[in-house]
This record gives sequence, C-alpha cells and structure tokens, in this order.
Amino acid sequence: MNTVILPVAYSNPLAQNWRLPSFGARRVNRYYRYGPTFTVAAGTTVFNQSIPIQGGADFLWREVAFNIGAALPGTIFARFRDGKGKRMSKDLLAVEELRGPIAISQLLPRTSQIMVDLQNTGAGSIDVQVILKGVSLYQSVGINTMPAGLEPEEYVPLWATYSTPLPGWHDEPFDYYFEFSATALQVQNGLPLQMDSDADFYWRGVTGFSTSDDEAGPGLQQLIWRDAWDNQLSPGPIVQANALGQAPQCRPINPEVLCPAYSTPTVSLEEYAGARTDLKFALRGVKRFRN
Amino acid sequence: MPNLCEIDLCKQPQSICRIRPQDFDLTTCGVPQVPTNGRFLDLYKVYPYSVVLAAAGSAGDILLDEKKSVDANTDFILDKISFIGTSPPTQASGYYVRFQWPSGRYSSQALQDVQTFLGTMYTLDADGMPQGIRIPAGNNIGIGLQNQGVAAVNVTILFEGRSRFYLRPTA
Repeated sequence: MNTVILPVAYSNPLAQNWRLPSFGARRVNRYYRYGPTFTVAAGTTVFNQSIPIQGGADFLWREVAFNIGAALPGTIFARFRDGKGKRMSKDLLAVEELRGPIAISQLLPRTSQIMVDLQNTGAGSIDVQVILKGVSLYQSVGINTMPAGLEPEEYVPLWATYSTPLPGWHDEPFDYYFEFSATALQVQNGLPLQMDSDADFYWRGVTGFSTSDDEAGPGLQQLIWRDAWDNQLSPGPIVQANALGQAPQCRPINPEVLCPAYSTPTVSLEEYAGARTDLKFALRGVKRFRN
Repeated sequence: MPNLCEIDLCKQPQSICRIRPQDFDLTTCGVPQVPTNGRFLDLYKVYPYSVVLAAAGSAGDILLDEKKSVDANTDFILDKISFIGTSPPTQASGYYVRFQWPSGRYSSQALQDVQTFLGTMYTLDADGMPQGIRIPAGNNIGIGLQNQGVAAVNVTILFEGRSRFYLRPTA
C-alpha cells in the first residue's frame, strides 16, 4: 500500500478532474463552422464579402459548402479570396463545383478574415450561405486568448512593480497634501508641489476632491501633472474625476514617479465648470530613508 | 513534484509537504510548538481613538497633541488606519488629520483633509506584504486634528495592525 497521498491538483481539491485545465495540452480542438449569409441580387456580382474569424481561436478550414436556397444549380458562382483580397482562383466557379473538402487545409489565424465573391446569374435575388467547416484551435487554457501578436504580458500585480529600497534603506508611507482654490474658469500654471528635504518621495497614487461655498456648487478642474524635471505626465489636461481617486481608493500612478528631496513637481489647473472651487488632493506613496 | 513553495512566517520559502496518513493522527498532538525558524507571532490588534472636535473657531476645534498609546508588552505593527464614527466623515463634514510616529516623522507634510485619506495609507512592499509602521511597545501614535466645519464632529479612528509577540526557542 502506498503510504503517501499525492495531491492530484494544487487548485481547488474539490473540483472534478475534468474541470481542471490541462496545462500540458498545447491546443484544444473543436469542430466548428462559419456560416454567414450574403444576399446577391439577380444578375449581379458582389465582391470581397468578409467572413471574419473569431478572436478566440485559429480556424483550420477543411471543407466548404453552400446553401443557395431555391436557386437553380449552375446559377450561383463563388470565388474565395484570402484576408488581403488575393484571389484564390482565377475565375468564379459554380458552387456545385466548389463544395466539398479542401485539398489542402487552410489555417486562418484568429481575428483574420477570408473573403468571397458571389455571382448570381439567376432571375431572382438569392440568399447564399457560405459554410466553412473545420476545426477551431483553442489555446490550452481556454477561450481567453488574444489576437496573435497581442498576447497580454504575464499578470504582474501593481505592488510588484514598485522599486525596492537598497540594503540599508527602508520605505515609510507618506502623503503630500495640497489645496488649491480657483475662481470660475481660472487657469493656473505650474503650481509648486514642494517636496520635503528629508527624503526622496516615490509617488504611487493620488486621492482628492473639490468643495466650494459657491452657490453654483463646486467647480471642476482639469489637471496636468509635471514631475520634478518638468516632464509633463499627460499630453493634455485630465479632468479631476479621472485624475484623482476617491479615498481610500487611489488613482494609481504607475510606474511610480520619483520626487527627489528638495524638488518641486508642479501641477497646472484649469477650472472649466464656471464656478469657484477648492481642490484638495493628496499625493500618496513612500519616503525612502536610510535605516 | 512541481517547483511550488510556500512562504513561512519569516518569509523563507519552504517546500510543500506531502500529506501523509500520520498527519491525520491527532493522538500525537502535544503542546504548541514554536514554528520552525519563527521569530515572532503576529496577532491582529486594533487600537480605537475617539474624540469630539468642537466647531471651528471655538475651543477644542484644534487638537494637535493627541496621543494613542500601544500596549507595553508587545510591539505594534500598524498597517491600516480607518476613520469611522457616528457621523462618518463626508466631503461636507470632514476634518483635518495628521499622525506622528515614534520616530518623530509625520504621515504627511501638513494636516490633510480626512477625505483624501480615509482607509489605509499604506502601499504594499515589493513582496506583497503591507508596509507596516512599527510602534515599539509602550510608545505613542501622535494625532493632530482640526475641524474647519461649522459644527462639532465626532472623530473615531481605528489603528489596525498586528501585535508582535517575539518568540523564544524552548530548550
């Protein structure tokens, strides 16, 4: 008797095995069909009708079929083009000629497309359903995949991106708090956010709001932050609702902004709601001290 | 065995142990043992502070030298400050606050509107642990308060964190 109980899974031990993702399998295959319908008027030809491939999986195209409804055989012609419009046959061919397995399976990448030209030589308008049969190739973890080349980076929690103090140093949480008043439509450029002299500050978030004793209610401001080297942190002003988090939830500043001791980052403010306002905000982060 | 590990109390990676039948045998249980490499044991602790701030312009509207003492037998690792009360602070009825740590340093360079503070001010370390502030046993957390509103305000502040009991290996 084996005296060691080997854990089967490291996630939910109550989950059935078949529910657990198979991290070993590179792909999960699933039979799939694309079947868009195109209306082709009598005696006309429509070109470059797009059949988009879904973003969740590549599609291995193996067979084609057509549903031409009541159209007489020999009246509907088709020609496929690749996703960029390049013709896959010189001429339009009768759908009766085209239907069936494809001699060489075509791999259509996710989010790509394939196009088709359709010609109706009959006397009535026909809805032509173009049916692509094949296999959807999913990534092993499931359908949460991205277009090729746009795969997300591995998830990294915000705190893991913060700088760490060198040996002999440590961080202490700190807030820099400021209030700025503005009259209606007032523009104020380069207001100083003076840093203390005792330590560098690593700015990681901001909270704030506005109040006013104006009967019209508090005005609203939009902001442009500038770091200690006068680098603008946004290409234009950001309205306060977007620039400021509502405590205790900070608006994250990521990556963190270094504000050296003695330095003076700035903020430019523009009141845009036509009312007097007092803007209050806290730059939240850590000071870095020697032990 | 996959290369998985867990972190012990001292942030030391440890291999995951396989579950063995004898692990379910409770007859061998004895007195609690000091965890391997454990140097301290943290237990949740909260220190509440309450005061009534008088209306602005009257006596008692500014209290800059308030103190909250922590227990004399354990260090306190402060990792969260919550503001509650019968009248929770709002943007209209807020007050101003600042804290001073035993090192003499302050939580901000000026008294700040509590509405820009509210919950925790602390970020996480690069290893995902809260950046606590150590308040040595018997020391104080300094509290500065100011009411700029026209009405008195009830202030209740919770200092949440961990009491740190240092462990001494038994013979």
